[in-house]
Formats: sequence, C-alpha cells, structure tokens
Amino acid sequence: MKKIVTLFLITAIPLASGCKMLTGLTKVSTSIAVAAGALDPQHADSINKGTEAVTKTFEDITPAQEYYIGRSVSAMVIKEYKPLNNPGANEYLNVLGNALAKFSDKPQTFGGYHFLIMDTDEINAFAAPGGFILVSRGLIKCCENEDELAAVLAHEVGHIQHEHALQAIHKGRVTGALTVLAAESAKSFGGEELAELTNIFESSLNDIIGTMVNSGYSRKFETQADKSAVTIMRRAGYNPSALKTMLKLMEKNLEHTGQKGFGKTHPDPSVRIKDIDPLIRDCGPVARVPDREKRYKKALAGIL
Amino acid sequence: MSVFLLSLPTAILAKPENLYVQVKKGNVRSTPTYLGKLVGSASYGTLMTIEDNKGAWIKVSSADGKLQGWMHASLLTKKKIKLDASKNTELAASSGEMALATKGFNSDVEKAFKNKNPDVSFEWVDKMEAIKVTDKEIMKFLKEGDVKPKEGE
Repeated sequence: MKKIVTLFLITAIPLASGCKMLTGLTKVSTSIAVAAGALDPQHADSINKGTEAVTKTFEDITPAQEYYIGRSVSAMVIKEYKPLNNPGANEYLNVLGNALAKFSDKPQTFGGYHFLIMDTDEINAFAAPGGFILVSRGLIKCCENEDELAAVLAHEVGHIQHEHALQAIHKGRVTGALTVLAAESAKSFGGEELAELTNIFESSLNDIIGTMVNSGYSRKFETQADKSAVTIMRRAGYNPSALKTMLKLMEKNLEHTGQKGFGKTHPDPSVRIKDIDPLIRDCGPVARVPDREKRYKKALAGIL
Repeated sequence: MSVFLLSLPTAILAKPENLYVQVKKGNVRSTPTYLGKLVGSASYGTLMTIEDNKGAWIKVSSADGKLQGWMHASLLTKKKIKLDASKNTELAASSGEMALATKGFNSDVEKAFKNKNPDVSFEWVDKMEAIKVTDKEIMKFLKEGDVKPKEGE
C-alpha cells in the first residue's frame, strides 16, 4: 500500500493545475485513508470515481438538484422584485404557461412548471432552473393578446428546456459539489459536508443571478429560446407570428420608457426578429379569436 | 429441448433495458404524443422497463406490470436513483409530500441555505408550487380558446 501512496504523490505533482490536480490530490488522500484503515477500498473507489467526473459540466446536475437550485434562485429574485398578489391573473398565467410547456421538448420538469407575475413596470422575465418562471407586469403590458403572451412564456420555457440558467454556473462549482458528494458516500452526511455543499450551492445561485439578472444570456441562448418558442407555439396551436409582433411592441415600449431591465439582459428586439423571421415565413398574421381575447382581458384586467 | 436451446441465446440477448423516472410524477400516456390519453403516472425513482421507442417517446412498463404506456424521454434517466428510506419517512411526515431524498443539492442544503439567509423568503416560491394545473384543465383551456394543437393528433 505504501508503494501506491508514493506513486500517487509523484503523479500528483505534475498535475498541479485545475481539475487534474484535484483528481490527483483526492486519489492521494483516499489511498492514504485506505492505508490508514480509515476507509475501506470500496468507499475509496467511490470517492475516486466521483472526482474523476470533474470534467463533466452542468449536465451532471440532476433534475432534482435543478429543482432545488430553481427554488432558491426564485426566492432570491422575488426578494428584489415584489410578486403581484393577484390570484386570478397568476392562475391564468399558470394555465397558459403549462399549456405551452406541455408541448416543449421538456414537457415536465422535476417539480413542474410554475409562473408568477412580478409587480413592476420594468420589462423583464426570468426562467429559473427547474421551471420557475417570473414575468413582470411591464412585460405583460407589452402584449396585446393571448398569443403574444404565449410567445413570452414559450420563450421562457425555451430557456428552461435548454437549461440555460444552469450553464451560468461556473464549472468549478460542479467540480466542488461532486467532490463533496463523493466524500459523502464515505460517511454519514455530516455538518462539515453539508456546510461545504451549502457554500457551493450559494455560489452557484450567485452565478445564475449574476447572468440571469445582471449580464444576461448570450445572443446564441436567446436565439435558441426564440427558436424553441416558435416550435412550442406551432405544436400547441398558437401562431408563432405573435412572437414577432410582441417583439415589435416591446421594442416600442423599451424606446418609449428608456428601460434598462429587459433591454440590458436581452439582445435588441430587432436582432431577435431578424433571427426568427426565416422560421415564421409560412405563418400569416395572428388571427383575432373573440373567446381568447375575452378571457385574456378578463384575467389580466388589473394589469393591462 | 431443442426449442429451449435455440431460444436461450435470444433470451439472453434480449435482456430488458431499464430506466428510472427522474421527475416527481412522470406522465404515462396511451400513445407517443403530447396529446396521448393519460393512463397514469410513475413517481420519482421508479424503475421502468423499455419496450419500444418512437421519436422522443419511450414505451415503458413498471416492474409489477400494472403501468404500461409512453413516457417522454426527458422524464427518464439511465442513472440509478436511490431513495433514502429514512429521509422519505421524515419528509413525508413533515410536508405531506412524497419523499424526495436526493444526493447533492437537496432539502437539507435548502434548509441550511435558509438558515444562513433568513432574509430570503420562500413564501412565494411555495405559493407558486401550490398552483397545480392538470392535463384536463390544459385541454379545456385550449379548447375554450379555440387553440388547436398541431402535434400528436
């Protein structure tokens, strides 16, 4: 066993950078632990397997973990943006949103899709991991009908489907979480591991908030979400042209109000229109459906 | 005997492949479409056997054979899901919800985060989750609004 320890100590030295170093060092410590009798070889193996997975990215985060990240991210956003206490409007948003999510490439998340209106004039929306979608009153006001609101929600479902928020988590955090998880299998879930995991959790939340609320996603991600929105709307039976008309209205509103919210975190609406135009060429103008218009105005009476 | 010998290798080769349900309650439908009739749901961690697949849909059956139908592939994973029985009891007792003991970022971590950040309220997050929309309600909503789904008819 001593030989193994020495061998690992030697191999750990040239790997003194990033993830590789972590793998090397963990192997050293587990080998020492086995040698010292603190760990049986089976447990040591599980730790090493865990750390060997460090090069994997956000895909290692399971839907269940995504759900817990999403809950906390939402709570943090809600701390900054007051929710709109309007049960009728929120219920309408949830039925419409779920009707769209059902037709996405991720028809169900771990804990389901949930929608909430934020009581602010700011034009903004957030898709927290796991299906928690927050839409501002200001953004809803940009929509003239249900089809346009459907476009907004379908776009946010697109972000969830592609796990864009999770991709904001720095790769190193996932590495850290995996290391703690691997260690967890060696002993009971102790206070130390929980504290470390909680620190990684907090940092992950901050990574997401930093991107989602402050800097915004890349144009690539926004285009992906728009493309998914077009697909979702087609499948569900809404006219995807509504995404274009909504973006035009949003552009007008952003210019008019000089807002920084959505405009700060999203590409210019005209850029987005250019990207989706080839996808909706076959779609005619959005037809007016009296029953749809009626329920839209009724449900959102206090907002529009 | 000869029939047995001939069929044996086939039986070994045809070893069924299993998948785990990775959402709280995964919908199982009668057809491989978004509009397929709901025949039931499989809870988190349930082991399902693959019987067939079509596009993004996988035909599965539960171990007891009681549940059979099509699930969207995104609801299933090859990764083994192990539920912690002790935690299940504890969670079930405290929240009335089904047990969701998962490794990594889980309810323990959320609890620790809440203790560290008492100013971050989860009241509205819980309220969001309390709003449940059923498949039936969705279909009624689409019909009433004259929204005609084009997929899975």
